[in-house]
Amino acid sequence: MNIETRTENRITIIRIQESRIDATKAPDLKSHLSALIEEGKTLIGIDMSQVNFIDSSGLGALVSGMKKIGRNGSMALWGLNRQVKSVFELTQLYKVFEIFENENDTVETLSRYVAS
Amino acid sequence: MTLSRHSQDMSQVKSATIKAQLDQVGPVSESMADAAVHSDDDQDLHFRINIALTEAITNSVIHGCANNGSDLIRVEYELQGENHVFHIFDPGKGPCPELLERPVLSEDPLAESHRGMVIMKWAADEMNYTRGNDCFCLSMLFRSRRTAGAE
Repeated sequence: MNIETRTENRITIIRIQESRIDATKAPDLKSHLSALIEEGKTLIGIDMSQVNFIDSSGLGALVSGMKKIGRNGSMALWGLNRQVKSVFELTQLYKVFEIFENENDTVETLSRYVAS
Repeated sequence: MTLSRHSQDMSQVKSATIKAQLDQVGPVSESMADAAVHSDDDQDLHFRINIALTEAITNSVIHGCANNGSDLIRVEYELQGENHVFHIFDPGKGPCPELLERPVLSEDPLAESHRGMVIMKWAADEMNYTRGNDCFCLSMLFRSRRTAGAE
């Protein structure tokens, strides 16, 4: 799975460079998130702008990361297209993930956790 | 219920038989959605078909075939008037009826709770199933145009 990752000021930005996240890609995403969280990188922003399609397996990988972070940080997403956003709404995951329109808003929100 | 197999006004448009392997799911789902939706104007319908087939065929691989990669799954697409009908056959017994008919999410959004079934139920306009002696068939119907409030 193509994922670009960088960490700056305790905030880790993941750019998913795949158009489709399904059961073939979800295990890689889950492992990647798990490894980052185990390294203590618990403030994670995910760029979903390249993702046109996500199924329940892909959602499960993100949820798994969020559960692992628990109260030790946060995970926020941006760049969801209308159809991907509809899947988050349908499965009520918009209640779990902070979802933003762009990277700046995402980083700004995650920065509050650094400051606190 | 307009969804049934072998009705006289159905003509088979496309079919595919795949091995029960997860890397087969995306290509066959995309290709079936492409066969049904030709216009860029109807990307919502394409997405609904694609995601419902992905969830259904993934279930067939994992549960219907118990991840036995040599088992076969058959997908058929038929055009019924303006409705797109898909049938997915696997050698399993299928999910329990209640899960197929009324999938519900847990109150805790983080709980693993039938998200795939909920997505299928939302994406398809009608779902039906048939249990045979040695196979399970899930059928899903998609209307070209959804009536207001259907989503």
